Amino acid sequence: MADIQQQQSHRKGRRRSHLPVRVDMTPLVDLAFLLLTFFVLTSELSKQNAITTKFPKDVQPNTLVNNGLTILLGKNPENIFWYRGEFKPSMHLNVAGKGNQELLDVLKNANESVFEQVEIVDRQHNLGLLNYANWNKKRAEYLGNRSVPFVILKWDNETDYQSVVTAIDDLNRTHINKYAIVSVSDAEKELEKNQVPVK
Amino acid sequence: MVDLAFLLVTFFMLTATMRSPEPVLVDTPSSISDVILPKNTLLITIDTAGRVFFNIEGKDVRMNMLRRMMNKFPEVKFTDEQVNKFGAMQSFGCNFAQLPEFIDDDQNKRDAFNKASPGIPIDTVGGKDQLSFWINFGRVEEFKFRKEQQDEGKPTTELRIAIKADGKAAYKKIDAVIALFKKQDVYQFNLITALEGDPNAAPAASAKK
Repeated sequence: MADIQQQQSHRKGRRRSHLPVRVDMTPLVDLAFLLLTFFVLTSELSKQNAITTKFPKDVQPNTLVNNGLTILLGKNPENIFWYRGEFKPSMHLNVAGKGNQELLDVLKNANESVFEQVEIVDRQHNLGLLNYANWNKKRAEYLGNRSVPFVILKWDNETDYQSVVTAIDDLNRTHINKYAIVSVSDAEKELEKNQVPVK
Repeated sequence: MVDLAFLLVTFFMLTATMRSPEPVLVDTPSSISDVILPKNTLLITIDTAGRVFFNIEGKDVRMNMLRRMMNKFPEVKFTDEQVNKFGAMQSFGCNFAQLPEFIDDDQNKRDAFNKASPGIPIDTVGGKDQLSFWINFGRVEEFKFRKEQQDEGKPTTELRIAIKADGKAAYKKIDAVIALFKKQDVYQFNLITALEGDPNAAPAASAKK
């Protein structure tokens, strides 16, 4: 299979050779496959993805946020506590359990009006009803709205990186662009401990 | 079939960009972000145990950065050859005092070293932090280099800070690194993630109707 046979020449004139020339292609094909294997293995088929985050300059761990949401990311990503507004030692923490979907809903509700507006212009843009410049302008206008809540993600010593990234994902998905990531305070940790764990 | 093989070889040869060797295995967290990591990055790699590795692109940038580090820590001696070799290297994660030895090692020894290395010191307590200097000198040299390129009329892209951390790493460790950047007035980061499907996309859209 892997060789080339010279066609018999039927020219009149002088015949040069009676023997058909056989070129062995095997080493060439071997080399080709070797190179193929090498490049398939070394090439980067998928580029790396990244989230772009912007952290605010400095947020004190005990910052009081009135129109805000504080999310306590603990060890267990299934068991996220959150509260609204200012922290009080006697307050009741809400639980966003059962994984990611619930936290997403909490954030969506907190940012409902802006979320809907942005989703509508996004869809209009996708359908080609809104050009890029107008879409960007409207988006920026909605996202700059004062009703967008300020979210503080609080981590403790046991929080892993994946939980934080998932939370940032949820914030991006619900179009909340004002957030800070700070460490949890002792008082909050204490309160968290007293909560009944969700199964 | 042979034709096809050659076609594929050509395709992969032309599209191949060599995978940069990674100092440690890092399992990046999954995210729905489909933004592609921009070029020209200062890369901080953080593994499960929270060990920190540093990388910046560009041979000249790296060599000048190392020279600044040598001025900062004159007790560690480098030969010209080592400086040159450092320019062509990738990520590293070791104490500055061990760097000359690390540069001279071959790849096998480096791998073994990276497995045992505690990473670049970041502990600000007691002034042991070296990462800040790497970051600072790297950024300064990159800026100078970019300025020269611009003056020559070559296209340049802004330096991005990329953080490639393991999903299982404690966020505490990542926060410690981010705190060092914040001291240098860097607030924007690209967190490298692996793309995951968006399981909530469809129900979220239909629920709105």
